[in-house]
Amino acid sequence: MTVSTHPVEQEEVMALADRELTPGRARIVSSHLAECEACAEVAANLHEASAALGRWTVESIPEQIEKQVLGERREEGSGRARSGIGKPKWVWAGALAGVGLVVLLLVGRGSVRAPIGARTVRPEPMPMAPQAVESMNLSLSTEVAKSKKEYKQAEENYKNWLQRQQESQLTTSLERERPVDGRQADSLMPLSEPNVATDSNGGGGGQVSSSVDGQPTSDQQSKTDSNGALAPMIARTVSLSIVVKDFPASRATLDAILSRHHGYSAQLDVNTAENAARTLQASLRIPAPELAGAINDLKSLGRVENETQGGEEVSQQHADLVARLKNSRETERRLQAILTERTGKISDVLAVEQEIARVRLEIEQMEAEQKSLEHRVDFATVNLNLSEEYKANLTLPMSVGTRLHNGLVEGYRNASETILGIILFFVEYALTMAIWILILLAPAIFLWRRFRRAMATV
Amino acid sequence: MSDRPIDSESWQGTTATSDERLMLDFSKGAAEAFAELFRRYKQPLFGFFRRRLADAGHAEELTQETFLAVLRGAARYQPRALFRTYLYAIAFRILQAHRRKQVFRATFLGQRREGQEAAGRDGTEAAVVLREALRKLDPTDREILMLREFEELSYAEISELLNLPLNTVRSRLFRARVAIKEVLDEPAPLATTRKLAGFEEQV
Repeated sequence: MTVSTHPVEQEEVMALADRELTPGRARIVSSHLAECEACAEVAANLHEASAALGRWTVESIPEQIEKQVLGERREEGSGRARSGIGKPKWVWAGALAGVGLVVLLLVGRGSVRAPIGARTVRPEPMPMAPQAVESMNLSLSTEVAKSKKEYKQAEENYKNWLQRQQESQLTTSLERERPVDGRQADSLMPLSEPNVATDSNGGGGGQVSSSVDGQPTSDQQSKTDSNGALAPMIARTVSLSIVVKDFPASRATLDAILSRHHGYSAQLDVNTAENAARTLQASLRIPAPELAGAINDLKSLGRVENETQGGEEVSQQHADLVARLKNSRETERRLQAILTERTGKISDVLAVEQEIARVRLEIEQMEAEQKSLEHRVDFATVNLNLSEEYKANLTLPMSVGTRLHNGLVEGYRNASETILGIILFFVEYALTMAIWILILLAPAIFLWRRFRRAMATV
Repeated sequence: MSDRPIDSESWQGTTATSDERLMLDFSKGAAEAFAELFRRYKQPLFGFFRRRLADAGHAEELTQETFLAVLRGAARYQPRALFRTYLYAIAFRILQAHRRKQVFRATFLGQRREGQEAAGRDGTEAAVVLREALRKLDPTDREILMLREFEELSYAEISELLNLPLNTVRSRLFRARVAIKEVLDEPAPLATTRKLAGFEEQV
């Protein structure tokens, strides 16, 4: 072990030359240097090293650097925006973090299943009324249904089309059915009529619509057949606009009136918009003999704003239709006879069969037209427009407390969904990530060590 | 060319104005103050980079970048230390970033590092010899020695800049001086002789 006998350290000798000692310590070291040859030699060596380094001079800085820097200073002074170089790191870090957060949120939201209450419930398709099938058959054109096969095909197509239409209407109705002001529409619209096919699924809401495809009973039709040639046939139409004070009560009374007069509503729309008068538009079918009484009862619902009555004479049209129907039936009978009694080429037989199919289609079409005409005569149409005598209510917006509560609930829901999304992300990808980490770990460690070694040398 | 900071006698009269005063004036909008600071420190700062980098172009680039950093950080400047320490602290960080970038590119992208470039562009024979000698020192010892010898920073300033205790700076500086003396006293190795030969041929 070597013990120094010098009263000053060698580093102090160096510090003296560098003027880094306090004055008192500098005097001590100076006096020691004057006496100690070894320390003087150390000082001389250090001085030589410094002198050797001092010989390293560098060339002058190019002039254009000055122009560029001072030019940049002028740009800074005039507030011009610079691009790229020297942009604070936190800007890039912030942008990166923002992008990462957005991706995380998107992944989280994508992974989270919608709550049960928020799922869209699509009702089963409504079964088709037999009357609708019949009327659909009648609308087929004779050109399309050249044979029975084609006719059946067209019938099938038409059925499918009608079903799609009904489904579409049902979906639209469901979407419009969200509560507007908390009033339940099902309480406003009892569905008690016979032969009623309704679009409402009973969930209640701001708007309710129902459609009815009404048909006269067989009794009514036979009565018309027996009297049609004698009495004039008039299709009656009435339009009524009534303002009521008590809308729900009027709605109930309307049902009672329909029941009392053996009528039904072919279509009914109720609109219960918030901060506005409730309205009801209905197309009612009332048996012709009961029309007068029914109109009187309807007028008692409230103040009549508008009333229009009309009648269309359809006797001639009906007689013409009956005659054409009779002829067609006769033609069909003769064709059937030809097919049964005569013999000939196959092409002739096919031609007769095609002709029979065409005539049969015409007959069915005319029969439906006749039924429709007679129904229009037997059941008068009443277009009713009920509107509420609206009194505006002072409805205050939601209180601050309620809004805060709702905000907290929504925030909690969002946070929980985000956390769940993150968890789901890791559950889904943790294994894959682990595999990739294992694959990449060894080369990463190798490169990192190489990088650290290289950094240590500079 | 000497790279000692130039004391101005032309700035705002006949007496020299301190660097810190100039920087404060510049932070308040005096554009001429920055021009004066640039005039005082352009050569020392270029020397700082030039001695540490083999490529003169990179040294110019980093010098420019350092002044631009001063320019942009002027509004936040607080005279808590000497301006010189502040300036070299910025320069040192920029140099470290440059070195990291170089090493990163060499490690991961396979590019050549600056230190691996052929010598002979250093300008003088002394530069070649001293660069080789300094390369043999420990990196921290070398940095302390260079900051003391060329930038003439005090022990306290070096301590602050490198985030080392003052006594450590003093002992490491002593060790570095002794080591460089020994390296310079050794006979020139073959590699250095070859580089010098190349340098003479270029001249």
